[in-house]
Amino acid sequence: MIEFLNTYSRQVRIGLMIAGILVVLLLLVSLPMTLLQSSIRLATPYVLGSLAALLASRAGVLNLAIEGKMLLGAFVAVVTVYQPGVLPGQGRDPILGVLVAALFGGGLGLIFAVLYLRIRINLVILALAVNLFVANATVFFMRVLFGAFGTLADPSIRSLSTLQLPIIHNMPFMGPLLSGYQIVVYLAWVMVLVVWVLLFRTQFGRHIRAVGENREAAESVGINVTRVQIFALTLSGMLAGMAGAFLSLGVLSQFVENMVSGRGWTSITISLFAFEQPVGAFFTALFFGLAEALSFYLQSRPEVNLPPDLLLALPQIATITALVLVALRIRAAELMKRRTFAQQFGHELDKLRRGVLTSGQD
Amino acid sequence: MPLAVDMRHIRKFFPSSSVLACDDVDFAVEQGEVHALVGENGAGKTTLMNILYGLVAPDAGQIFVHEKLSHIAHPNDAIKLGIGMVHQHFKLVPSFTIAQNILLGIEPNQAGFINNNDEADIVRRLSESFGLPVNPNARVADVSVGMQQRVEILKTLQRNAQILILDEPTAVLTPQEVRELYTVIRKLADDGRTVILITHKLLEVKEAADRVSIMRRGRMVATHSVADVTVREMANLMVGREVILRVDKSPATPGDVVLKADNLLVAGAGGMPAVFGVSLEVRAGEILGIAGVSGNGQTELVEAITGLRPVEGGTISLLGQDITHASVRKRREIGLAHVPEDRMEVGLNLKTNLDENVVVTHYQDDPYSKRGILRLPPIRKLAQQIVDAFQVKSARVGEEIKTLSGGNLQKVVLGRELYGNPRLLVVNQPTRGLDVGSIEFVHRTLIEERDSGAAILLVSVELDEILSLSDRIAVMFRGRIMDVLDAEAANEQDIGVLMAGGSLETEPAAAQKV
Ligand SMILES: Nc1ncnc2c1ncn2[C@@H]1O[C@H](COP(=O)(O)OP(=O)(O)O)[C@@H](O)[C@H]1O
Ligand SMILES: [Mg+2]
Repeated sequence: MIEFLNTYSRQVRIGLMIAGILVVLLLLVSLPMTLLQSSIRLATPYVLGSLAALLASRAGVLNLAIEGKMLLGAFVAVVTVYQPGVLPGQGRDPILGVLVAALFGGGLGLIFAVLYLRIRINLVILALAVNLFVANATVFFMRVLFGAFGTLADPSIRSLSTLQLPIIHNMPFMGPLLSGYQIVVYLAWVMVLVVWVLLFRTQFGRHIRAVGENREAAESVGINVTRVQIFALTLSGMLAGMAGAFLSLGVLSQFVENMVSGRGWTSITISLFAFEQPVGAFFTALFFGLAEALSFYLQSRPEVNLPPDLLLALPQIATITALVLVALRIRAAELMKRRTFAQQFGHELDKLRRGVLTSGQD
Repeated sequence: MPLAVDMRHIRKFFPSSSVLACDDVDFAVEQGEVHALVGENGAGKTTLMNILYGLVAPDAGQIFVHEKLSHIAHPNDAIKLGIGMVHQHFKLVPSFTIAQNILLGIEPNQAGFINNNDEADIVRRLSESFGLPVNPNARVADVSVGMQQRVEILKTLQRNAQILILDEPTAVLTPQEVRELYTVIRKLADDGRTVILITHKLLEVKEAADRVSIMRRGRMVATHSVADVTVREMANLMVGREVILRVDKSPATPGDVVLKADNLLVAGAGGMPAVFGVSLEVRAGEILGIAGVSGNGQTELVEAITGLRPVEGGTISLLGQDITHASVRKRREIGLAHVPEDRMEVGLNLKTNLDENVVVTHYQDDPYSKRGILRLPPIRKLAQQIVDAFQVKSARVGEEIKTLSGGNLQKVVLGRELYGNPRLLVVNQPTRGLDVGSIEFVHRTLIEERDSGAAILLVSVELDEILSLSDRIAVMFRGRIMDVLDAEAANEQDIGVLMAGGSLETEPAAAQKV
């Protein structure tokens, strides 16, 4: 098996790529349009969350607080547009909520960065503290400020408005597939490009990657490592805040206790799985959107006779599968490298020995 | 000549290791000269230069650059003053190209956006103007160590460095590459640049430098014109007394083969073979020394034998048992002991106390634990025995070891590894960074161990050490053993030729080919 993979590794890779494209095409034509649409919609928090994760990690700081930052974003977004007594549909524009969420996420990212970089608090402990703190603080403030238990909802809270893309909107198939989503969905797509350009085409992005890969190299040429990391964590926090705002204002139009429920952690998995590449993270996030959409879709089908708990767990199953695949991929790559090495140089060594023997030296 | 650098009364104390690395040091360098800064490992050379480069803040002292009092708080300040430093451990980003590394931090850009082609052009022009060819688009991870060093030098030149600090630049180079480096250094000095060359190889000082300053244990002990001082005198100043290079020892009486390696193939960093077809035997009661320039596969060979690195081809056997893929534990049970190159990170755990450090190789054995529970009294007794037998000064049972000096730490490692009479002792750079007294102690211990019947594989980049301890000497070059010599018949010249990749029969031709 491994011999086969060795000899035909190029062909295998091309084959896998073609198979992947075929699967995607097959999914596109075979799945119902509504399912595809909700996949794309539900992928949005993952897209933004995984960008947040990879940005921090590219700068050499493992950001395990994405979960908490998303939850904070979800909460402040709803608080911003919560205006009891105002007629339904007349409240503040939800996009304002998204902006405030990004600000708060960024702010929390900044505080996080300062605590870590200036006071040198252990990164993992700090992240866990942030996650716990936000989870409890949102519940607390919901009760104290609004007297709400578990859920903060009001008719004044509008959902994010949708956007029809010009030209594409009227195309068959492409129109319904790509047009008509809420603004934040497109914002997330734009952010994929922005983060990619930032990392790979700008001077500052070059410095981010240098800091992440060899901090001392960056320091010795005078790059301000602290500044780079503070910036990366702040931007990471903003992205996470937006992801949270989309969960509360884009999907549900209300805030529910602990509503992020692991999506922040999943985002970190996605970033790992995509080797911290923005475009790769985007497509991986789409798959997670599909898993989540599928679990909702199948639950709404009476003819599907699967236990509802299992269906609810679909995204989690996808996460675990992805983690196992990440590990396997790294292991397989290592094994493969060792095999090729042993074969190539073992062969050269044999040749060398035979050469020495035939030339009559001892 | 005006002074390019004038450091006065520099003092630096490291609380974390309780070391006074610079003790009221004065150091002056004239413009346009090649100035060697020599001293044993740990003398404070790197610290002094890190202070000049703004990486370490001194506790006291003043620095004048081009005769102006300068405040250097950050490498940026140093770069602005025209100071460039090539560090002992290169500071490069492996996944970046050569051009990206050279221009790191000073990327030409338009409103923050960068263009790879512009960068390659700039680096090409730079490398041509200094006669230091590089391929700007090669990834640093894929090029040789010599090339990486060239990248570091170009990095400082691109920043228009007038004062260049090179920290032990030759430790990782082949003799050929060393000669090329000297040509470059001389050319830079002829152009009016000032070069500070840190090294502890005194022959190189004679060859490459104009003046030399000598440091010993944090103090500056002398500055001389190179022409006025002999290698012997420099050596004495460096260690503070007559250097004894010969160790008393009787001829070896080798017994059975203990370690046998056959046609070993081991991978190094970057996917290239680090050990390429090495076969060797070590017998009971003899010391096989492995000589070679650092980075020629010695470390990987040691790691393969001790079980810290996988073997990709060939076999290793210990006392007749195949251990090619055996676990470290298995190897130790058969009779292996290992004094690793890096005693701070690998040899010891500086975060814990003496007891745990000495029992870590035996904690599962009888009196030290019963049914999975550690038993303190026997462990303490063991620690005390080692402290007494190896004269580990200022070490106390149950207490932290991180404040011990390098020599005492090495004694702890030796004491632990020699406990239980190992059949094979693998030692890598056993005296690196130690004071003379500790060096003598380590050498004597190794000879005693040999005389009591252990097989010893000694790896060292210090040729003197190899020559004075070994019974047979294998010379490694680019992952291969060039030849094995009898220590009685070996001399420094022959080994030098082999270390450079030459062979003793066809010496001139082969030496040139490399
Ligand atoms: N960052 C540091 N923290 C603690 N101790 C240090 C540090 N840097 C160097 N030292 C200690 O200072 C002494 C001098 O080290 P160094 O300047 O690297 O010597 P050299 O370059 O001459 O070999 C050594 O004993 C070393 O352990
Ligand atoms: Mg040094």
